[in-house]
Amino acid sequence: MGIIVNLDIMLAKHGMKSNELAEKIGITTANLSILKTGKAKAIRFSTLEAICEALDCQPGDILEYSEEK
Amino acid sequence: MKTNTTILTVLTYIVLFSSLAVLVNDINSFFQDRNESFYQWAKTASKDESWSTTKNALQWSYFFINSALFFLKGYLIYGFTYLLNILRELELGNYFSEKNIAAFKKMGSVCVYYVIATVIIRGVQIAINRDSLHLFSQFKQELTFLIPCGLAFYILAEVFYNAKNLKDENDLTV
Repeated sequence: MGIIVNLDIMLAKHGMKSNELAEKIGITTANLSILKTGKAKAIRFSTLEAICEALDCQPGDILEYSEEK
Repeated sequence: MKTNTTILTVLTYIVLFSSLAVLVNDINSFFQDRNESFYQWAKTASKDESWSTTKNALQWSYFFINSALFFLKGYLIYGFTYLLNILRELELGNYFSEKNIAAFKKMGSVCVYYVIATVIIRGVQIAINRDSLHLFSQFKQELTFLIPCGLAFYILAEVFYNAKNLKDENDLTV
């Protein structure tokens, strides 16, 4: 699995929809979908910072490392 | 950008059609003028005589070698038609696509295969004619132009492959 993106859980916790978050952090819904589905190969610090600010959380709440392959 | 691509497409078509016209003209002159002796021989040759007798074999080998060389020239022209595929992809804005990489590889392969096949066939021709004095001049065009050309296409394919990987990574960076 490697790096797991827990964006869905954080969105549910905050009762926020994907398109709302995308609008808040200034990325397209398509790019947010890439991030949510784990297809992304990299994430910019600026995007991570914007997500943490919008969801009032830490990077560790969004990203998780799993040893399962 | 689009204007440049259109100009390049038109130029490629002109070059390809000119090459094709030259090839057709060569084939025509081969069959009409230069090969008269073969036709004369074919008319007078005895049907009872085996094809493998020296005289017959030489005539047939001359005919087959020239036919093979024409075929190879056609194959080389076909290889360069992949340039049109690349230009079409460029026009669509797909600069680092799989199709472009495949087209560069195919053009490289066509150049290398053409050189190998031509060297073998010309080698046979030289061996038949026992004309070893012109050995290098026979292969000059292939060795000095087409081998570097083929290598350049392989290098371009590798460059485009790496560029495509970088583009994919960039596209998947959020």
